[in-house]
Amino acid sequence: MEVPPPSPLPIVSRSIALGASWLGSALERRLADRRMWIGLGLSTLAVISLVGWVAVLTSLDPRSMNDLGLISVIPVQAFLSIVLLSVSFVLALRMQPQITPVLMIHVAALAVMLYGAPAFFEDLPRFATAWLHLGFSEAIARTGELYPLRDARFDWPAFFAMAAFLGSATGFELLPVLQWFPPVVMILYLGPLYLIMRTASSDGRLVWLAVWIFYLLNWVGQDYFSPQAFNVLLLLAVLAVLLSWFRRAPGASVWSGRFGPWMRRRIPSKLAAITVDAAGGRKPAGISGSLSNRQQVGLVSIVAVLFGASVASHQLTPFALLGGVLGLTVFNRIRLTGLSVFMIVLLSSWLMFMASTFLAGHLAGLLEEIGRPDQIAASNIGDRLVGSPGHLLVLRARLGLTLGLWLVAGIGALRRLRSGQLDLTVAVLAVAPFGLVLLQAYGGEMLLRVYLFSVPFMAFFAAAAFLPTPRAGSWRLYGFLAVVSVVLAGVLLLTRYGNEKADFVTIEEYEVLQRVAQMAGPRDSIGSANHSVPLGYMEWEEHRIVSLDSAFRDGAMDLLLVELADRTPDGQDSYFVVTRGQRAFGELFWGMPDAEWDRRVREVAEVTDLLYSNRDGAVYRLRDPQPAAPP
Amino acid sequence: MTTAARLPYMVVAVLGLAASFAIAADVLPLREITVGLFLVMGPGLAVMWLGAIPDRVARLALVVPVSLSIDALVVSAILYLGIWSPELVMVLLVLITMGAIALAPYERSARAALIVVALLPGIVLLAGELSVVAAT
Repeated sequence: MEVPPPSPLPIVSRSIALGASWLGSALERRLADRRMWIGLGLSTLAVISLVGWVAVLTSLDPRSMNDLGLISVIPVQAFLSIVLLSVSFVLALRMQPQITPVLMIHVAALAVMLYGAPAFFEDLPRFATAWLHLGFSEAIARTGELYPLRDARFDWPAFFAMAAFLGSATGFELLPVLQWFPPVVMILYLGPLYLIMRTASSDGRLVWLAVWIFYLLNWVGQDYFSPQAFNVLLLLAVLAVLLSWFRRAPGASVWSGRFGPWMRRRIPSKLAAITVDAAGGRKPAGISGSLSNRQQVGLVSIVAVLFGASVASHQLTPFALLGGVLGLTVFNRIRLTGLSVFMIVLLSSWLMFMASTFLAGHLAGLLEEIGRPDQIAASNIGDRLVGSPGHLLVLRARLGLTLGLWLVAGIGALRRLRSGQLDLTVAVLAVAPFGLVLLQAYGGEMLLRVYLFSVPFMAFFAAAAFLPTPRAGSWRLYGFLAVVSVVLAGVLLLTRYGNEKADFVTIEEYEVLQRVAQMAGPRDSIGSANHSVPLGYMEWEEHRIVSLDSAFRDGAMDLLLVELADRTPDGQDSYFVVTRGQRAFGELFWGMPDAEWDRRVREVAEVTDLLYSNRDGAVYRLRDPQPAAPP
Repeated sequence: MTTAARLPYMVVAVLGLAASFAIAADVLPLREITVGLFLVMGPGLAVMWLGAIPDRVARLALVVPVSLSIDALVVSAILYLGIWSPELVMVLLVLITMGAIALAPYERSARAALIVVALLPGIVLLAGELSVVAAT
């Protein structure tokens, strides 16, 4: 049988196809190279802006700060770095598709610039409470004991114990860690935050703008060495797992869940028309179809471990997390409907069995505050709006930034709704922390915590106010975003570091603390004019630290001395410490002029012996020790 | 299992091994780095491998919070038992990490060697620690 000669047509068409394919891949490579070069260029700009920022900040003198705090010593040229970083970020944001590592570098640079700023020019870690927490950890490391009767925070000791263990096991000196803790923990938030945002929208620009805005708006300063800083990481991680793997399918009806029929009977029919969540979210890359049993058990175990660590380390965050999970369950946003029951059981068990010391002393007071929003509002806002004129400006800026964020977030939610996206999951998580206000004043800090827990989700809606839909957007919009970023960075430096004059610690102050720790024997009392002094750091368990804020503020010096003597065990000495940071605190928060401060210190000096002094502080000892108890 | 796929397991196992030796011999520079890295990454990675957690980005994002949570829970449990021994906590964390790798759904022969190598110093440390606790 004769074989027909091969037709030239397939060969030609194949050649054309091969040629086109080669041309296509060459073009693709070229484009990929171009994108790579642009990405590399933008990353270099981010690094340059960070280096420029550091170069300017290292020459600053913290002693020149006025009542506005850190912003008062930052020169204008430092803001060029923020301008450069913001411009570079919006250029990276506008690329389609975005290059994730490039955007991550920008966000990390922003975190280091804004949250690590004091570490570049202050000699020692800032903020007395961070030192106190380190004092707790070192007390555990030294003695292996917990002290719930001396401080209620020991009823939630996991963070302090973990830090004590990490320090002992690695051999790391923990004091320098305090200085870099805020930028490091803020960078750690980035991973879970990104996971959460990418479940909220498939638009990469919206996701990264929301992340960027989160870093520009977290002014509450809870990222110092503290259980709450660690717990925000845990909260974000739990929500990242739940939203990535246990979210209801996009479009799932609110009314089909366990609480659906019950809720539907109780709300107006017009509202009931809103039934579905935004369909824009997506499953994380790499996940297809359903999870295997092993994966489900693994993920639920991870949630349990994260929540367990949260319950054992902080008194408030687990309640915020429970509120969010309850909201997601009630609105049928997650599949793990039993999770909130598990959380309630774990939380109440801890309170009853492990935090019983705290509950025994505070239960009546805690119950009294529930449902008293008037009292809570007074202690959270009214009572805090006091101090020097500069400090009042900072407080108003904080209030303005908070209300401004909530307003812009509301506009963002409405713009998303108008474009057909009901972001119910994010909305539930943004609103849930407000329930905490009805429960407790939390020492006048509850509104700060509400802001802290809701800011990631508010940031999403704030970003949506600028980019409600996945359209490319004009250059003008991106220019505007760069300007907004620079302005917000400035406002963050004002609001977050508004107390910096009282918060930074000098080497001379540290020397005062070392001296008093050496002089004071076990069980001796060390009093201070107010709590803005890192007294708790050195051998915390050995001494009784007494903060005499109200007596000193009111000028009741007799009362102050009596109170200090009363808090001193029989036969022990009483010391009194005054430092630069305390004086700055008095000026900022009490509006106390220098002359008045000096007069009160002189009154103390008249009935005490001066044991040590330098330009930033002094140590006094009460002349008559407490009489020894009869044998 | 390819060599590349085995690499992360080997890294964690070797890290556990190095951390155990460093803490036992108190070699400070090595101890700071190896023990530090092991504690912020090892337990979390192992547990996520055990649970076959999908998505590399998610594992990367969650490794530190999960590791620190496990560290915090173990050290708190030991503290509540009235024992303060960073070495004992370290041993338990090495055991948890290696146990999780041992039970991870991957090739048995590859991980068996890793586990034996990584568990040996942990067992030695544990025995030493238990004898100290028993003596006190």
